[in-house]
Amino acid sequence: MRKLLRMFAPPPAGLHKTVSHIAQEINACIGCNECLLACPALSEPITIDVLNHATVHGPITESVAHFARSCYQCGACVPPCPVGLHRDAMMLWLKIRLLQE
Amino acid sequence: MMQRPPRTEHGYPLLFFRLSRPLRRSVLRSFAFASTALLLTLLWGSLTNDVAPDSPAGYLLAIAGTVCMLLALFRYSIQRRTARRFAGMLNAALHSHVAFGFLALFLLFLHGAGNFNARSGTYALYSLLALILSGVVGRLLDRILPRLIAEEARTTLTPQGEDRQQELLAATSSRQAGQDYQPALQAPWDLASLPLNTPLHTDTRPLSKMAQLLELHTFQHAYRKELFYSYVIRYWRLFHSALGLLTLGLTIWHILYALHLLLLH
Repeated sequence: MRKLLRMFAPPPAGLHKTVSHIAQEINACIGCNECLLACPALSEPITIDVLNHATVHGPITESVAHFARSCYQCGACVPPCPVGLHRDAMMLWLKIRLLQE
Repeated sequence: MMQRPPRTEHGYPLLFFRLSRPLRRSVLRSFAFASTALLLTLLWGSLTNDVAPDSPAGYLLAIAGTVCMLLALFRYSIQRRTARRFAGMLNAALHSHVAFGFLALFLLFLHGAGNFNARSGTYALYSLLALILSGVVGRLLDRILPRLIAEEARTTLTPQGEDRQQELLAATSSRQAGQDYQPALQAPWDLASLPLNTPLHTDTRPLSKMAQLLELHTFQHAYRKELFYSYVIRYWRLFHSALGLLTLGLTIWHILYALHLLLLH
């Protein structure tokens, strides 16, 4: 019942975070891969270190760019994270970088 | 040997399409399954001239369509909640969910065989059609809205990725503290003594405050739009799930009605 009610809960106040917040979260990532396992948009094998490297300032490879474009911000990656990080906000920053570049 | 640096991708088109391996696989499988079902139905029709919903072929199509519908309804939901073995597994399950949905619609449409008089079956079929359409629209929204969210988020952040609102508020507070304040030029008793290139009003405070307010307004507007888009994604998914439950209910009603008719005759 609680799960059903959670479906109707409003989304968090804002999806985006500043790049300094995102850098902090990436530093806190333990690389367990749980977010990628829970992602329904990921169609190619991407490792978490490649994704983390590309997210803030690293070069965006073709597979990471395709993953970022396919991500539809469903938020399925957030609950399984054992450290409580927001992979959806990181993916949003990756999309912003794709838009900027 | 020198290692070549990885090529940096850029650009985020509004409607991009890429035929990934799981998508290609599910499209090919469902196309093969649907064409086989169509060929068998046509063959059965040419041999017996009876493809009515209550013919043996009709029952087979009904059973196959219902199985596909149940797989589309529950398989993906169960896989999302159970243990995942490898990355990309859920993407393949999502493609199967879509493929089973289309197959169910196709098979149940063949089961109907143009006979849309029976009330319960017609309602179930129309509900399934609405469910598939809502799924297609949902997939389109999943493509378009995240890009719009990224655009709005880009408006709310500086090019360096910091919060634009914080920067604006800091600029406003420093201005209020008088750090940038330049007093207005006092007009002399003899205006002719001023050089022509001297501006009479050098106090830029009201104008820049207005610009800041406009920027804040733009920021808040972008923030609200970002929220609205994320609400649309979330609640469209709920709407799709509710339609799925309705379709399931109407299908159960139709099956019970058909069983009742079968047992009566």
